[in-house]
This record gives sequence, structure tokens and C-alpha cells, in this order.
Amino acid sequence: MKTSNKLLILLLVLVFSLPLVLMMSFKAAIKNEHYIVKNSNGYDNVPAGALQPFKFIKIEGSIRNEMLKCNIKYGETNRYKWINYSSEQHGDSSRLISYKGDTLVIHYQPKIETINGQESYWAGAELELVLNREVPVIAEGAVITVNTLNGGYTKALEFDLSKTQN
Amino acid sequence: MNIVTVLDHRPDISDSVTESNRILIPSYTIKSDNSKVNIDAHIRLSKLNLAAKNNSTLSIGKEVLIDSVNAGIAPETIVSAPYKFVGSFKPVTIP
Repeated sequence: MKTSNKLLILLLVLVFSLPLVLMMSFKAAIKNEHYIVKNSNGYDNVPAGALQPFKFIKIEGSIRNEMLKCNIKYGETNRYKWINYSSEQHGDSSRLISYKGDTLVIHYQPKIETINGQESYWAGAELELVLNREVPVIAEGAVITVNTLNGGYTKALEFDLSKTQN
Repeated sequence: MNIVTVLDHRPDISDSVTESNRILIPSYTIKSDNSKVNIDAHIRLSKLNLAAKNNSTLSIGKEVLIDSVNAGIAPETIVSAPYKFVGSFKPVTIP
């Protein structure tokens, strides 16, 4: 066999084997947790938190915009999860879960920066709220989505979409 | 402005929705003040209580069944609903 043919065969072997070797080594690296996919969406995805018992929900978003999105689902246990759109560069926004009597209060205020004399909002947030029963919702400055009404049996739904008087 | 949307993403729901696979909601109460309300789901509302004012917007999808409506909406309220429901949303003066 000519030397040129040998070189050609070697080249072909290298061309076809190199991607295979790379893929196998990359797969092994992922398996050994050398690469961890923290968040496929690129957002700051906070783990779900538990909620204490409550009878009402009050959602306090930003009045001047609709940067708080609240997705309500129904499940076995009450829990919540924040998905924050703000980046580290622009800092975090104020988000708070608290209780006032028998009311669960969800508060969100995006971070406001003044640039060239004008207010700028860098952030938005999405809250996933899983409830084990239907409770009245009072909302201000928020986008609420009630999704996946499961089970075929639902109690009364009640929403008070008020406008905050400034 | 608030927006409330009722959606139905159950995977077992096909294009043809029968009475038996609709979710029954006995009572659905919404007080809307400068808010958007969008109900678009394969549901049946036994009773819809609605009070809307200050440029609120109400949208009801064609797959929503409503047995009875108790609606008090301000004249400027924008209503988008199947023709059979339109007469149920008569404008009233809301203080």
C-alpha cells in the first residue's frame, strides 16, 4: 500500500473517531459531575419553599408595571417557588413571603435604578404557587394565571383585583 | 393593572369537550378594578359573580359554559365573550 493511501486512511480514521472520543469524554465528565447544569432557562431558579396554613392570599406586585407573574396551580401540599429574572449585574429585587393573621402576603418590588434621570426597571419575577385548596386571592399589580384545574372537582374561586390607591 | 387568567392545560382534554370532562366550578367571583380578566378553559361555571370598573377588560373563551351570571360592569368595560353571554353583561353604574 502506498504511503499516501496509508495517510488518507489515517486521516479518515481520525476524522470519524475524534468526535466519538470527544462525545464519550464529555459524557463521562457530565456523569462525574464535572459539569452541572444549574438552570436550563438561565434564570435564578430558587428551590420550592413550604407555606404555613392560611385562608387568604394577598399579592402585592409593582403597581406601575406588571412585572410579577403568579402562576397558581393546585396540588397536594402548599408550596411556592420564585423564578427571578434579575441578573447579578443589576442586583436583586425585593421579594417577600410573609403572614398577616390568616393571610399569606406575597410582596414583590423590582429594583429601580435611575439612569439619565429616568427610572429603569431591570427585573421581573415569576412565582409558582401550588395550593392544596381554593382560597380567595386579592391582587395588586400582578399577572395571575390559574392553571391546571385538576381533579374535576373545584370549590368556589374568588379574586379581588384591586387597584391600589396612591 | 392586574391580569387574571384561567387556563386549562390538562393533557387528556381533546378538541371535543363533553359535559362529563368539564371542570365544574360552583361559584366564581371576580372584583375587577382596572384589571384584565381572561377565562379560557374547558370549565362550567355554575355562577359567575362579576363586578368590573375603571376600564377593566373581560374576556371569556368559547369553551366556557356559564349557567348563571350576576354581573355589574361599568359602561367602559370591554367585554369579549360568546354571543349568548353578551346580554348577561349589562352595564351598570358602579360607585
